[in-house]
Amino acid sequence: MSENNEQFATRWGILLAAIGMAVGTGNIWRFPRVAAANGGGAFLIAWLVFMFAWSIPLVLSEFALGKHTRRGPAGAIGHLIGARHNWLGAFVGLCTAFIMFYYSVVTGWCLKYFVATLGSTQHFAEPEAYWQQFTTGSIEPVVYHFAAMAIGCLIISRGVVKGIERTNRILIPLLFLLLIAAAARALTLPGAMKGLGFLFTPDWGQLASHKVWLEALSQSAWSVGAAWGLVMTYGVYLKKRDDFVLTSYTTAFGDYSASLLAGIAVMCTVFAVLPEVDARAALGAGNEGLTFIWLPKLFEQIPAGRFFLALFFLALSFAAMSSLIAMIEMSTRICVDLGITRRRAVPLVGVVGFLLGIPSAWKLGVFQNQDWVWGLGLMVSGLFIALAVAVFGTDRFRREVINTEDEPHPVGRWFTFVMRFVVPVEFLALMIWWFYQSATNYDREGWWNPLRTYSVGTTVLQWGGLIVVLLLLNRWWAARVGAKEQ
Amino acid sequence: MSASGWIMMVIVLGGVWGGFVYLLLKSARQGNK
Repeated sequence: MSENNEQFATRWGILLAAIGMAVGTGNIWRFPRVAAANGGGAFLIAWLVFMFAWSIPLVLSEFALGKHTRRGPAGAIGHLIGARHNWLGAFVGLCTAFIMFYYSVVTGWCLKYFVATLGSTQHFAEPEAYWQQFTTGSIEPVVYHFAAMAIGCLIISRGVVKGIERTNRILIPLLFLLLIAAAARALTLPGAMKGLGFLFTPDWGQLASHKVWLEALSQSAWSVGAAWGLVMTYGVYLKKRDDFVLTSYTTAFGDYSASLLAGIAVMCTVFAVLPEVDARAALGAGNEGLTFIWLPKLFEQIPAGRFFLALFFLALSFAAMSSLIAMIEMSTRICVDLGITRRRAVPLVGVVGFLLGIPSAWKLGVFQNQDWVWGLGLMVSGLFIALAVAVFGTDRFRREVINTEDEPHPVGRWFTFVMRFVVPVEFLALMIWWFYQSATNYDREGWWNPLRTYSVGTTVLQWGGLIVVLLLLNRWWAARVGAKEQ
Repeated sequence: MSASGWIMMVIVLGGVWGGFVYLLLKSARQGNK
C-alpha cells in the first residue's frame, strides 16, 4: 500500500526533475556518434519524427498513470486495469532497476574522470592505457560505483522536495550552461565547420534505409526516458492541479536540445583536431571508447583543453547523477508501494543497488551484457505500457485519465492512433532489427547462446526469467500494492 | 558546409531549441506554484 505521498512544491521543480531524468549520458556520448554514422541531417529528421511517434505519447501515458493511480510502476497498471495484469508494470519497474545497477557504475566512471582532470597532467598522456588500467583489475570502478550510489541515496533520503527538486534546480541549469560552454568552445576551433557539416548535412538517400529509422527510434526511446517507469514515479508526486501535458512536451524538447548541444560540442572537437579518417575511427569507437579514450586525447590538443575537459566530465557527471537519482527514487517507490517505509526503502535500494552493480563495475563484459539486455528491455516496457492503455481503452485513457478537468492542454486524437497502432509496430520492428543485428553482426556463431554477451539467447533468458518470476508472484504482489480485483 | 547542411541546421536547431524556449516561456507564464 502507498504511504502518504510528498508532492513537488513548484512547477519548475517538476520540470527540472523531469528534464534531469531524461538528460543522461546517452545524450552526450551516444547521440553525436549515432547521428554522424547514420546520414547526419537525414537521421535528425527520423529522430524528430520519433519524438512524437514514441517518446511523447509514452511520457504522457506514464505521467497520467502515476498521477491517476498514485502508484509507481509496481502498482499503477494493476490499479488501472486489474490485478491480473499487474506484472506488466512490475516488469517496467524492475527492468529500470536492472539498468540502475550498471548505470551507477557509469556515473562512477564519469565522477572518476572528472576527479582525474583535476589531478596530474600525466593521467591522460596515454588515455587507452589509463582506461585499460582503470577498468581491468582495479578496485577503483567499484569504489566510484559505491560513491555514486551513496550520493544518489543521500539525495533521495532527503525526500522529493528537499532531495530531488532542490538537487535538480542546481544540476540542470548548470548542466545546460556547461553544455553551452563546451559547444561554444568547440565552435570556435579552426575546422569546426567540418563537424557541423557531418552532423547536419543531410544524405537524403539514407532516408530510404531502415537502419537510419531504427537507429533514430532507438536513440529517441533510450534518450527521452519514455517507458522507464521514472516519469510514472514522478507522476505520483504531482498535485491534482499540476499540468503534466506541457511538462511532457517540455521534457522531450529539453532532452533533444541537450543532445544537439552535445552533438555540436563533440562533433566540432573531433573534426577540428583529427583528419577525417581518424575522426571516423573515433566516432566508431563506441560510447566508452569515444568518451574516455578519444575525447581526452583531443582536448589535450586544444588551447585550455584541460579546463574544457574538466567541464565536459563535470557535465557528464551531472547528467548521469540527475538520471541516477530518478532511478533510485523509482526503486524506492517500488519498495514503498510494496509496504516498506521510505526510511527503510532508501538504504535497502542503496545496498542492493551497490551489490548487484559490482559485477558490472568489475567486468566490462558483464556491463555490456546488462546494457544490451535491459536497454532492449525498455522496448518491451514501452509495449507493456501501450498494452495496459489499450486494455483500459486507448481513447478512454486519453479522455478520462489525461484530459481531466485539471489539464489545461488537452491531448488530441493523434495520441490514440500512435499508442494503438504505431507503438506496437515500432516495438516489433525494433525487436526484429536488434535480434537480426545480434545474429548477423554482433555474434554470428553464438547468437542463440545465453552465455554470450550480445546474444538473442541471453535477452530471451533474462527477460523470460523475470517474467516467469513476476507471473508466479503476481497474486501476492498485486495484493501488496492494492491492485484492483477484476 | 553545404547549403543543404546550413538549411537543415537552421530547421533542426530552430525547431528544437526554439520549441524548448517557447515551452519554457509557456510554463513560466503559468507561474511557479
